[in-house]
Amino acid sequence: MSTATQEVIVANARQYVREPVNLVLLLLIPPLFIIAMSRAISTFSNVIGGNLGERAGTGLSGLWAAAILTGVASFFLSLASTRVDGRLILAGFRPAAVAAAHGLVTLTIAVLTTTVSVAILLTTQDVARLEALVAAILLASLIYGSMGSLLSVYVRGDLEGSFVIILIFMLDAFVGGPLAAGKGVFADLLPVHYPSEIGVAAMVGSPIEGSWWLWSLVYLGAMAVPATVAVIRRRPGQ
Amino acid sequence: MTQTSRSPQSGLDLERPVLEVREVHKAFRKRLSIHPRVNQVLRGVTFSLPRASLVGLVGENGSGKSVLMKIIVGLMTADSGTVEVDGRLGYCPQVPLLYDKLTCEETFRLFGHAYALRDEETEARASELFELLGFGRFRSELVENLSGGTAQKLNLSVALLHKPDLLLLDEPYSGFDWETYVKFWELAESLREQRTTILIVSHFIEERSRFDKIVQLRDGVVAEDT
Repeated sequence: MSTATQEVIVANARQYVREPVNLVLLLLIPPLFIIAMSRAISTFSNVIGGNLGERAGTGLSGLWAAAILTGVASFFLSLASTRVDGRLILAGFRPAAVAAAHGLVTLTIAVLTTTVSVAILLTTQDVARLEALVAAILLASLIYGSMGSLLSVYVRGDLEGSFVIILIFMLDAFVGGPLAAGKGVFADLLPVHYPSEIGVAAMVGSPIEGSWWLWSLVYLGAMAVPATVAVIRRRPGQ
Repeated sequence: MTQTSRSPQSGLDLERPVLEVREVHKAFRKRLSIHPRVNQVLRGVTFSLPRASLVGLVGENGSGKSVLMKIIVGLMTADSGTVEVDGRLGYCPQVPLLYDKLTCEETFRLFGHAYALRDEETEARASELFELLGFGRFRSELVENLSGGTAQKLNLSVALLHKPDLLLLDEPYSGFDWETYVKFWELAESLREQRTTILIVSHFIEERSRFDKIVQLRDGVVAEDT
């Protein structure tokens, strides 16, 4: 990796770390979701047609926490840097280096949120298959992270973007995921439908279908590729 | 078709214009409208800029100067015509486009890498610019904490970091206080002495006597080139 690429990575990492709200959310959201909401999720699941036990509900809440945190962080980071990236590219940085830097920072945030979520999950519940759970949460985080980056291309307002992410998350949670037993019409098309299935199965030790991994990766690619192309095409005037 | 060529600073022909714009046309088409129409913004703009000059590109709103500037910088392509930049180009946008969570020094380092400068070169040039524009005490301050005027100084300094042969300034006075305005002209004159050409894009030009040349755009053509 060139020193120029490293410099863009460091700049983007500073943009994330030096925003205190990001760190507060990182410490606040996972415990809030996992500890405070897990029992309610299980009860609510029965109301809307699902049959999620408490353990599965806890796993699902950990996955959601990591995904939405990564999505929101990635959206704000991309939104703040869009025009600056364009200036850097105009000044001489290779567009691919800027895109790679963004990708690596999103990956780092996803690893960070996944680590915090898994750590809290392990203190509250037994996990049947830890590796699969970690992979599912990381996949969900990366899908939301790429989605946040992609969204910043089309939605230029902080508030509007946050609403869109929350709307997608609500559809994901209440229609697409195991909370409602994935019975919605477009359940399979929602971003973290398959990572959620994997996460729940990993928590309770039920079988994980191979196609779930495949579709999760397809979804990740469908978000990450256009997000990368959007960064590569950035210019200051946009 | 537009061709923007940039050659390295070494081996420049000092007699050659630093910028040559020839027969540049640009139109915007509204295809999805009920009444599709073509807005011809530039209609064959031609001018050239000699080295070591201070030039104003002026025009009323809608005259096409912003579009022309974007074409020169490489942000937009022309429908036809050519743009040739002989040397390094520095671009200072009207609004500071900088990462707000970086300090001034970190910003210089980042752009130094973008311009492919060595770390020592960036540090030396940054110190020079801090001194020249008088904002050295903010070197460790985050961009988000800078006042509008100081952010504008940093914005300008970033465009000057690699000692460009042609410096494009988009409405540079906005956000400047009087002291900075005076320093700006001192800097502009000193750059001209170092053979840099400065193109100031603005909707109005004060103190015309400071300029070597004024290019006035009207309705997409050069109405005056003096």
